[in-house]
Amino acid sequence: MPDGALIEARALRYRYPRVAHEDALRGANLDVAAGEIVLLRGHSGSGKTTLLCVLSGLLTAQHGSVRIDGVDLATIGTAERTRLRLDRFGFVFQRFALIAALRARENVELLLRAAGLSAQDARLRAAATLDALGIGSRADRLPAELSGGEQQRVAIARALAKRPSIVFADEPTSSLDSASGMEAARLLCALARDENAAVVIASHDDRIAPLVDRVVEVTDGRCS
Amino acid sequence: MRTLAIRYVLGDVPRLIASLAGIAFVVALVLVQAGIYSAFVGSTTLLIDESDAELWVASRDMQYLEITLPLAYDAVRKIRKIDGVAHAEPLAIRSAIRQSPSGRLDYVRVVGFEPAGSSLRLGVPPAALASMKIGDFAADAAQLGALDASGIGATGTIRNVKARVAALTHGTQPIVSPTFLYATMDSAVAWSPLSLGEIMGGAPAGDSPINYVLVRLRSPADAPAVSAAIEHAVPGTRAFGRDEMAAITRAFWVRRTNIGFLLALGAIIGALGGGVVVAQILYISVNEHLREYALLKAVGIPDRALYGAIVWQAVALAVLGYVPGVVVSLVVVAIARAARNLDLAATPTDALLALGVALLICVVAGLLAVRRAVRVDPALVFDA
Repeated sequence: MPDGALIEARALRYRYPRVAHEDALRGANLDVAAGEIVLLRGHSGSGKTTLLCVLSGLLTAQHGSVRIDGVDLATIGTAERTRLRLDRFGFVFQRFALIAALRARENVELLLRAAGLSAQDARLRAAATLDALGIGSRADRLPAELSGGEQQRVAIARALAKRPSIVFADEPTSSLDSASGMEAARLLCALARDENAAVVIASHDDRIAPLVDRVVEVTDGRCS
Repeated sequence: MRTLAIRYVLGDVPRLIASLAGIAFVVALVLVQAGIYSAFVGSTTLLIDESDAELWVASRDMQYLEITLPLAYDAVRKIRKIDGVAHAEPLAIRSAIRQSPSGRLDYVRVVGFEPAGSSLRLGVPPAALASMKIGDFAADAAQLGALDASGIGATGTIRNVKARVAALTHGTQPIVSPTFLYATMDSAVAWSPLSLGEIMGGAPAGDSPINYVLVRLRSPADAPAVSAAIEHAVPGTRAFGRDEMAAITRAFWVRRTNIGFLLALGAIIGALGGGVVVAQILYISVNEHLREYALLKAVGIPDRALYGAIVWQAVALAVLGYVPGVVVSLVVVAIARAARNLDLAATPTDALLALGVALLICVVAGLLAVRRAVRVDPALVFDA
């Protein structure tokens, strides 16, 4: 593991309350360096998504620790974790998770405004990011008026527009056809490299492997 | 977040309409109740408000306009001699039962006064008042039905003495009092020999007793000094200022009828009902967007922003619902005016109060609904 890893996860154990009888994570370890793109590869139920949730502070492991830039998530409060996600993390979800009532650019601007940008700066930054992803001309469409691939590009724009240190992407290709899925993954990795953002992708899609710096196999809640 | 809040509000038209209907109902209810209160309370002092008399001289034991002890007519003569008094006139308030030609009975309040130069402003041409003879009276046009009278000239009897409609007034009838008949002192005595209060006995000797002396002051005059002089000249009396007299009368009716409490209770129950409707609708809306709220929490939107979004929705609903609520209340006011000549129009203060109530119930309803959103597990957004 490189010294000064951006993400440093140790011996993570997590069991979902009232849901499973077994641990979803069983002593998972993971390090991710700044700007590094890592693929967490594993079958359904292997613990990939749970690991993403724990790494991003959405779930708190019952055992083990997660350090982001040296800060142990267990030592900071809920409000600080929320602020950390807003300021330093970007998220790409399997089903895009766009807000249906907002236009594409508004989905991107929403987070930029929440992060403290002025309305004008948010508008300019969102437009530039959507342009970079090739959907600037569709910025005023509602999500329902966009194809799956376009929606995922809006989701990537939303994740990257605020220039996060880390992007967490959960199965970013699985809701798309083969070509669209690969295009989305390629754009995510390319734009992240441009922004020097670390990316942690959870996916069972082997085709993503050539796009990333490192592949980590996740099996039965452990990383190898 | 404001954009999102407004889109959520406007995004579902049937739900929006249901919400606005609930809020409009509350606003209309508050405005109409406030209008009823204002009309009721205001009507109790119409006779006082619509007079030019600066002082109402009455027994110290006066309870309100219609309950007081009699004064000797001589009080008028004494008061006229006091320096600073420009005009003094008697006023007697008596009770009687009028019978229409068809035999219908109506309990009436006879207001006896001296029409020539009277301080009472009844909205009737002075010539019409001055020409009233014994047995003639003026009454509010809205009371013709109660009197079983078709209009001016309609006759009836009180204690077998003719009682004829000689003139019609407008907006002079208290809502809760018996029909007010404005007549000469002679008519009042003829129809009702005993004045209010005389049933207690000890009526003053001499001329038929009266109940008030209405006083207009010379300008300029020192009102407190004149009042003191009157009270000194006519022992057992007090000179009430017009506003004080009106306040005493209003307070009596508010206390006696509990109308303020009852109307406020009705408004509160209505507001609670409307609030429940709005809360339910907002709660359903939050539930339907739960995954989006989970997303917002997952990506780092703080709870206070979620509260802000819901409060924005609530404020938007309140403002949007306020407008039709005001329109409904105006329709009700117009109907009341046309059907019963009642002025239920709310005051600007009442309008602000109704807006405040609408905002309050919507914000409270919103805050109840948003608890579901802020408690959602943000990891929900990762569920495929």
